[in-house]
Amino acid sequence: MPYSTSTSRNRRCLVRLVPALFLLANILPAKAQELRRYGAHITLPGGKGISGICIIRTDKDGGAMSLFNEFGIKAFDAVYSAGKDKVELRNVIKPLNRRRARKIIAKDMKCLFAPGKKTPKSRTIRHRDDGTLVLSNKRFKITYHLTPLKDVVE
Amino acid sequence: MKYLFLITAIWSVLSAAAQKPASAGESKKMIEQVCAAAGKMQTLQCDFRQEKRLSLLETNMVSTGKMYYKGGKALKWEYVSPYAYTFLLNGDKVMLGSQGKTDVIQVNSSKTFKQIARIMMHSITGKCLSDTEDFHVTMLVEGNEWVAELIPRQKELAQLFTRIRLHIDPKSQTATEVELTEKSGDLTRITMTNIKKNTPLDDALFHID
Repeated sequence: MPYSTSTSRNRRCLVRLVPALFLLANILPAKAQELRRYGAHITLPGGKGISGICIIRTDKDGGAMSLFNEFGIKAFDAVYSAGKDKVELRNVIKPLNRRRARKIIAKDMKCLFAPGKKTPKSRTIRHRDDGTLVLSNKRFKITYHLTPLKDVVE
Repeated sequence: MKYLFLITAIWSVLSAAAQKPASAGESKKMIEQVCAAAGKMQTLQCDFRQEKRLSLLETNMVSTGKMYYKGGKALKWEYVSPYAYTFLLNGDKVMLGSQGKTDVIQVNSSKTFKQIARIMMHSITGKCLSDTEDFHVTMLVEGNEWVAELIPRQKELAQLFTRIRLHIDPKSQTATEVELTEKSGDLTRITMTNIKKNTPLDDALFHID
């Protein structure tokens, strides 16, 4: 009898556990992947600048981002590999598509993907009260303003 | 997934077959009509729906909003959903606004920014059909609408996008849809509705401090 009781208890446990595990398997990837939206403007030396929308996706393996203007024209894509701790820029528009500029921006973008890590030299990150993130590269005089775009409540 | 690809492929073939290239004479006439209408355009306002494919992020961004244009130098691009965000261009100044906060940027020293702003305004008004130095224009007839296919001639523009397709209403000779294809293959589609031409727009709408 005790044996059979224990078996039925185990069965009941299994019956509850299997759907729970199934649910978790479906929920976890969604939670592990995060999509953030920002209104962005980047000020560059010489009074130049870029404005637009910035979308950042992060997950356990790294992340990716796209910066495009209000009309949909892309400034650049960036892919972050957590394993290599490196950012690779893709589809970069002309004024930024120079080897040195790409290298600097890639390093700057690393701060956005890995905020917990130590900020690289000559870079600072400030969080304003309104949620705006200001990333400054003092050496090359580049400032990135990223204001979170929150869903409008209807 | 396999079937979805097949359906998309069949749809693309059918769509291409439905397009009829306009003859040289027709094409010239169509361009003249659109450019004449664009030349008379003082103001333009409409609702827009913007759909952007971001293949890297494996997502489609869909947003809606209102657009206001005045006198060839002022453009207000106001997103109302899913987020509130405003891009306002007036002369050499740009104002970005979200969550009640605004930032003003001077764009007079940025050649690329100016170029992009010009393309934005010329696409929505149809003026880009006369930019023969910038684009190679092909006119098509697609059902009840005209389609202008613009391929950039200059290297600088070709780096920003590979093709712009303007869907034009033959009755009003105004653009109703703008499709922009990037080098990466990602597509942005802006559909304009409730279009009002030459209705008075207050200068205060475009004011930047």
